[in-house]
Amino acid sequence: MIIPADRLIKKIYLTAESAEDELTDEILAAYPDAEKIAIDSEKYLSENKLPVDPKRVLLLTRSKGEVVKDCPGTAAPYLCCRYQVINQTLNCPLDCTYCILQFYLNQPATVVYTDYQAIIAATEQRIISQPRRFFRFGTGELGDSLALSASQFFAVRLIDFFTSQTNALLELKTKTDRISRILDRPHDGRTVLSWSLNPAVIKRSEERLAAPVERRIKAAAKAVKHGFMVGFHFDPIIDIPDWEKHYGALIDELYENIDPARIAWISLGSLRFPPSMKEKIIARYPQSKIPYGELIRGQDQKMRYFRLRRTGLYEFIYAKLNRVSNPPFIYFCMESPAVWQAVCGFTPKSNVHLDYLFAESLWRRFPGLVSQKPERPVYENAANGSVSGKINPEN
Amino acid sequence: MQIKTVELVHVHLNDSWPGIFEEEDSRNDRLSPRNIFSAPVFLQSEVNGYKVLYGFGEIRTLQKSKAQTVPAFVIPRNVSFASALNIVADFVLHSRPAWPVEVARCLAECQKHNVTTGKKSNLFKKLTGSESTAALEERYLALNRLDPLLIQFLIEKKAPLKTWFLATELPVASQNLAQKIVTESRPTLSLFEEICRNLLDIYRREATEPAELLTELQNIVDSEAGSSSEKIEILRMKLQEHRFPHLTQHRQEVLGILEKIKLPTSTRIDYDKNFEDQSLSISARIKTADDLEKFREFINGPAPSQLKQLVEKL
Repeated sequence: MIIPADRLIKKIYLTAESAEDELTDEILAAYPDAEKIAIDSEKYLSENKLPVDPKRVLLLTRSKGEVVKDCPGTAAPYLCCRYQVINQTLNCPLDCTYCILQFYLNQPATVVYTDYQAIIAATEQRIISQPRRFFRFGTGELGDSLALSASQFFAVRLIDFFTSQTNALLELKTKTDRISRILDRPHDGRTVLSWSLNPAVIKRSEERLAAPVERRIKAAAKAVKHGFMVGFHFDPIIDIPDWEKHYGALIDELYENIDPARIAWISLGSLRFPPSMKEKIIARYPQSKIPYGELIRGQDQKMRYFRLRRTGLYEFIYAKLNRVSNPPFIYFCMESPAVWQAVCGFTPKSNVHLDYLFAESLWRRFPGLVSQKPERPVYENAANGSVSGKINPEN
Repeated sequence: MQIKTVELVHVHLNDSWPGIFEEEDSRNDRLSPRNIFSAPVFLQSEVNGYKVLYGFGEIRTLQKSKAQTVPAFVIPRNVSFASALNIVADFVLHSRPAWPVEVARCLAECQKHNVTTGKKSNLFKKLTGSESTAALEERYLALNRLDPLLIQFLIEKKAPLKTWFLATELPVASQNLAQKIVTESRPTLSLFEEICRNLLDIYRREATEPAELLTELQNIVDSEAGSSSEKIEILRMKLQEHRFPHLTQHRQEVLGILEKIKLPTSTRIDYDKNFEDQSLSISARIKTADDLEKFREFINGPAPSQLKQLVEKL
């Protein structure tokens, strides 16, 4: 049985400044059984060397530093889409074997920033700074956008904020089916609800606390009925025995339930992680087979499947996803130009070109969403933040 | 603690016990007084004699040479085992870090002598520099099951802790093979690590020891044909093939194309062996007009189509 992640939370620390925030009241009320501990500041946790248990402990505090930023992506030559991340929730209660967060965020609690007005103001600042660019923002980079009520309360405020934006979309990315708080919010078509998908066999072995895949797809179908655009992330694609059969069945199930015309985008990304994570996965999840795939060290120093293996996986999935009328925009997350070329027959020339392809696709497929038709040179110059008109090839 | 001359007949030596700390075994000049200090004997008084804590090799050598006495540091009977162990550990650590297997032996001895958790943790920290946890102690204790030949190899090669642990994680048949490889072929430490890592990854991926592969590898090691280094290379290739089947197959296909390209002698082709970068580089060393002419013939001749085929394959 899947335990909703909220029920895992046993303790909530809240800093003095966070105690004044409206979001904090709402969050505390959502966890009536959790022990609440007021602290002066988050230093209390580090100074007292509390055991690391982010799946059971929340820390409510105000943000420090940059919360809204460019997705860190990965190093060249791999292409990235210039996504914008809003890191309001840091860590995730789900227990996916391949997830970098549990190793990367070495904090004793899941951190939730409660100063939502400041975060929204920073988001707005970004949007205003490049009016001719079409932004995609998401809260699912360092946490699941909807797994915790603490994240959902922030998500609904973001949905409200994005209704008035003309050159930006919000993406809420999840592996749960917890969308009831979201469904009836007015969103004005500016929020994409998206799900990471993997075949059921992988869900069972590697995504222990995530919702079953069929429930994720059913939730997506509900979202579509409520007028939301949806997105899907086949990420991480994992090389398992009979992968064609499993991924084929997953795509069939997806298209049986979701009209491709309502899918804003689908990403494909194969398993990848920093080399040091291999031993940690083995220690923490001894049953997982993912560290033993044909992984090599990529040019960004991350472990990933050998390129021709990745290409083989992608070719099948890409072709099957495209075998519908009005297929969705399909892109690769952190892939090399060689893979793009081999699978799609073309490759974006740069990250900013890939960003343009998103905007162009959204303009073409969802009339009225993007106010002006994106013209490539103009868009790329604008999106690049260039005043000279030259495109920075690094972007 | 006193320095005493102890009669060897009162020293209790358990031949089946390897001792705790590794000892220097070169005692060519045992009459030199310097050796008393560079490799001394540590004993602890018992009811009927002395227990050896350090200096097993020395005692054995003396017994064989029919010596009657040994100069030794003698720790009194009323000193706890934990304190006695600490004295010896301090002596060893003065000259070198403790080997992981020595830490493992200390932990086992602490268990045997019911040393308190606090004292055991302190000793562990002294020996390793790390805080002890139950899981980490378990990993160390597993080192006590390693074959002595493997232990000797790992010490000789100054293997890092991860390699020690890697060796213990191998299932029985794979560990036996690793020991045989070490004995017969004396691989470098990095080759040994690669072999163990691949064996372990295959075992974990397949959730069982790959019996057929192990037999094949065993036969390579046992074979009378080929030098040690050739055998290691074949064995390595076999393991790679099993661990990375698609990558290995692709490498072979690329090599097949490369073999057909008749490069001028001073010219070489390099490419990313993991094929992440789909490009190649050609370097030519031109010393004479003849070199230049041969390179020109190559470039103007079959090179473009052959290189195109190779790049496409990469």
